[in-house]
Amino acid sequence: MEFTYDLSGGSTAIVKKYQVAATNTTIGRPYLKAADGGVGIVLGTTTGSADYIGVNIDAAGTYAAAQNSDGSENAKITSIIVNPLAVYRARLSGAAADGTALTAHTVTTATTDGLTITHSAYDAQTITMDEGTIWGYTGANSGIVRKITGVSTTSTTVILAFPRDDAVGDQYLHAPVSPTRSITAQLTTNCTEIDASAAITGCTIVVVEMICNDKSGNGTTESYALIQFADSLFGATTT
Amino acid sequence: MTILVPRKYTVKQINRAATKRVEFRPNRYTSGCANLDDMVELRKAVILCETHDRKFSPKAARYRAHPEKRMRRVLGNCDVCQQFGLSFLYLNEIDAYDEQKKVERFKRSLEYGHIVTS
Repeated sequence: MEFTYDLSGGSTAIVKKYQVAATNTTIGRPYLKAADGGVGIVLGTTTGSADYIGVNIDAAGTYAAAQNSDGSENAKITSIIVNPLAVYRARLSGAAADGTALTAHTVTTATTDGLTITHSAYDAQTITMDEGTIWGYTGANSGIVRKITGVSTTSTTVILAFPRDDAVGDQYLHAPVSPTRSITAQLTTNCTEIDASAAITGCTIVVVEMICNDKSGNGTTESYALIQFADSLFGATTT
Repeated sequence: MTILVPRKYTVKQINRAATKRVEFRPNRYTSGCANLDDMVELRKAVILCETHDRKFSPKAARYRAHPEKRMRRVLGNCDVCQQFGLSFLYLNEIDAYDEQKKVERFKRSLEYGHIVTS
């Protein structure tokens, strides 16, 4: 994920360099506060962002707990954006692996009221997409976005109707997060994107806004959530 | 008062001392600041205040300004003088290349995307 702006109104990132407790070669990964007895800040996990401090902008090497024989520095540092109100853009991934395309779900029964999207081959309930977001990928409602208000094993319901009737074969995309609504999400394995195929549990975040693309904008791979970490050690701590 | 007593040095000692001095002098290969050189050697992000930014050659160090325009000026401690303030941020070329791709991808998504805030 990448720094996009700061909710305080400024757009300047504050960067600090901290000693790390783990090797990391991935840029754009959340870090958490140092643990008791630990040597430095620790990596966030796919489902853990408690006492988050920021996102790194360079890689961290492997520290050596003991002295190096040549007397060189054995600690390793990494640069972290520490703005507590920072908003990061996180791509929506279709699986735990970074960059996986979202799966487009095909309409199997056309509706005439724009309120229920029927997709027999896709279960929106088991890993619930309720209170998430649905938007048109192909067909009459391409690019139109709605908040999900109900799900079943074969359909998705919205309370604000889509403006046009869809047809069999039209496709929609789902994400389990929605602006101002979501408070948890699961990140991808490298913790740089949001796993939109996973249940909404884990990292405490707030979605500030979303960028939803249809097929013309490669929506399966180019849709984003702009998020803020809500459990920040330096600021908006919720616990 | 310091009294300097002439002493005979060997050629080897003189050369060794000269080499040591050069290490702390800006030249084509080193900036004259051990901390900054360490950062460059480890390919870390480099933060420089206005004064030391003028003395830094990103091209020679194989560094680039951050591809994201809003990340080119950050608040941080200068890697040379450690003063906190509005500073310039540089990434090593490999990281900058990866970040460039992310920036371009996001710009494309904005071009066609529908921004949802409710």
